[in-house]
Amino acid sequence: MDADVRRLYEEHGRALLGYACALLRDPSAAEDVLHQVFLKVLRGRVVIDGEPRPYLFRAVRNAALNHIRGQAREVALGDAAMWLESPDGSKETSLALQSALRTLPDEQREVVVLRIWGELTFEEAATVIGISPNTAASRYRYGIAKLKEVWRG
Amino acid sequence: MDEFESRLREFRPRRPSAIPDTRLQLLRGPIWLATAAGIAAVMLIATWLRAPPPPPAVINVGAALTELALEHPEKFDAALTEISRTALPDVTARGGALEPLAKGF
Repeated sequence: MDADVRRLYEEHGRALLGYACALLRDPSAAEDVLHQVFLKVLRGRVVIDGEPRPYLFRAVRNAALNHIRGQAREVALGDAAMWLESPDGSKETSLALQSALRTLPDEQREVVVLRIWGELTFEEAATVIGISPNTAASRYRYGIAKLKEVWRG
Repeated sequence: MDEFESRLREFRPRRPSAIPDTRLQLLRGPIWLATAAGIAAVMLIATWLRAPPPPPAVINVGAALTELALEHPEKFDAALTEISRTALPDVTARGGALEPLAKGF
């Protein structure tokens, strides 16, 4: 059981952290949320039925939204809050992309992150968020179009 | 997937740190409870040690000697000798009732 959960963490930890960061914008809080989800699974408090990946993204989403509700105020973010690694190791490039992602509306950013870094299908992303696959696809298209305008990688 | 999406995928979210040890997480509550209980115990002991010692029990020597003289007169002298080592008033104490007596010596 422990080994299976840790394997899931190894396989999907990065993508889940990226998703949590997209929702919370605070890598430290995002990591706490991710740990919270996996600790629950490790303690056997939740049982994953079926495909674990969409379940984990949904669990991270719920935990992140609970975290946001519990926050009295918006956390001030510094540019140092880096959660993406660029292929060439450039901090500036990573921060520029993160900054561009932040300009997207929350609902578009969420689908873009689920699709690009979570590698979920539109159906899976839609299940995670609780919307229709068509809406997910539409949000994604708008998000990507805006990202193209804002970020020139 | 177009080129732009491929370019985005070249970026990777950073690796999260390891999941905290579940055993430590489970122990976190009891550890804090034990620590709090330990601190409380230490404070209690420290308070107890700092408190003044209780006053020695007052023995009514006069009443005991009277009772002994009436019931076991043969033991009275020995008891008086024994008690006199510790229980007799200090004639040299300042302001004591026996101070005038001490001055005579």
